[in-house]
Amino acid sequence: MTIRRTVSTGVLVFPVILLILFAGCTGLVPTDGSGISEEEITVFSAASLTGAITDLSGLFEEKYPGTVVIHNFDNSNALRTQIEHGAKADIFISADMGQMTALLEKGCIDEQSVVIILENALAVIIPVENPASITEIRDLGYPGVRLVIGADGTPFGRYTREILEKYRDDPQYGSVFVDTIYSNIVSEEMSVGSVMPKIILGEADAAFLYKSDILKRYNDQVIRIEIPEAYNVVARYPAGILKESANKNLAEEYVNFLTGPEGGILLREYGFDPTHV
Amino acid sequence: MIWTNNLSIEGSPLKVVMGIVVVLLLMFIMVPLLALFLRITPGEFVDALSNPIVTEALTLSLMTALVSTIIVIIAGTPVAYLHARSHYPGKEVIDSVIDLPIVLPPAVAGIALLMAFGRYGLIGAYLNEVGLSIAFTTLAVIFAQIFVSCPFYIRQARAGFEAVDRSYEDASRTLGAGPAATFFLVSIPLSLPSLISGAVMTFSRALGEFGATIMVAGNFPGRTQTMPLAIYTAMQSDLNAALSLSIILVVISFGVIVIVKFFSGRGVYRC
Repeated sequence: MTIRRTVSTGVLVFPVILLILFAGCTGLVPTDGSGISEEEITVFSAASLTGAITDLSGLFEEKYPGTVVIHNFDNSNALRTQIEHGAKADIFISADMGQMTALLEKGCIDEQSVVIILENALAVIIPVENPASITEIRDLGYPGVRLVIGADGTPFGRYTREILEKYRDDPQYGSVFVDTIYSNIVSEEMSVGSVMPKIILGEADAAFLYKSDILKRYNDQVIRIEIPEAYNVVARYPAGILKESANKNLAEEYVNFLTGPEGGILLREYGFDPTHV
Repeated sequence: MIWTNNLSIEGSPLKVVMGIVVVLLLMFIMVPLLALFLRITPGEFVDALSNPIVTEALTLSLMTALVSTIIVIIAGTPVAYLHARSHYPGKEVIDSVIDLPIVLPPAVAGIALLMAFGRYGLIGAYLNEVGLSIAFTTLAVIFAQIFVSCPFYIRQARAGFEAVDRSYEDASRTLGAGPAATFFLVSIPLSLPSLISGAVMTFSRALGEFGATIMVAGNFPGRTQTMPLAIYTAMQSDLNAALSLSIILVVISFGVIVIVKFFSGRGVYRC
């Protein structure tokens, strides 16, 4: 009797407690307790923008006192999945159009708000020790080179494969060259962030990454080898505001800031080509 | 007194609260697991089983976890026996070091292994000179698994040896058996239930290893992409493959608990 009563009470109370728990997980973010009501926006951004967006948000918070920008950096695919499953975000910045299109089709993103904010391209990085003596792209085709690329599901992994296929089409390089490169791959990484340590530590001999990942803080640890424009791809990064955004005005301000002069300077500093400057 | 009184009263507030907590906790564990099974139809599950990402990961995982477990048994049994039978200065320190991987975050294990066995690592630098490199190989997967899973076996084996009545060992020696014969014919058989449940726990921990593996071994299908890594990879592209691998792991894990429960009721055989 008691047990039955307890269980039924539990079943009734369970959803309520769950609601409270989940509200606690998503909605509430600790403030500094100053009592000033703060406005906040959440930016879901491709991991390759980690440095630039973090800096930019700092500037944004200075320019708009009382605002707090919360970040979630991950590979664009993962962010898209999170948004599809109801993650609360105001702005989504993707490393390729595919993820944005998918969210547009699902009606998650406000179509009017989507803008291309920058262009990026890929490059090859090698550790400064250069254990495999690589000086040009052709050297990647020697057997035994330990190459790291992005997994098929990630934008930078897809771009890498597009580039390799362009080399395949060029008789100067050809299929044998590209097949050897494929057989040299030792790891298919899920995000840009897990590629870099493998190069810095010298575990891998070379990796395909975004140009923008290589600049700035890594300058003394890695060497960058350019991929000629004829073989390279242009990665366009779109930004969009979520339909569910609770703070559309502030989100718009943020996107404007990103595409404005301050954003342009910062993006360039990180090796991107901003489209709006 | 008051508490016990309250507990015995039918439908007392405390009892109701406790009931709610138990139900909540049970549901918190059960609902996600159930959701895993409900998200995929049996047909889709069977289809996914022929997907290369699933089959390769399954084979690699079972193979590496088995090799890791065997190595842990071979290297861990003497350690466990030594710790159960003898005292030496610093034994407690060594014991704590062996237990460390249980509480260490996998990312720490990963970076530590890289610093030791990476191409420019403490030991790896020398291995690299003789042409041996660990990173990105199946061997790296096994290293990571052994590192994180060996304490589970050693702890359990030590407890098993400790529970063996030493008079049997003494009797064996009195009757003329040497230390080795006594160890293999008396101590091991008597503590077998503990050894088995320890080995099974080590196997399942090795099977679930993720954090250290992805750092040291990378992610390459058929070579270093074990089941947890395949789940992580497939989540981005093929949810059914990720779900199927997860279901397989849930079933294996449940089997492990059943086996451990079965043997833990009888820590040692008693005559």
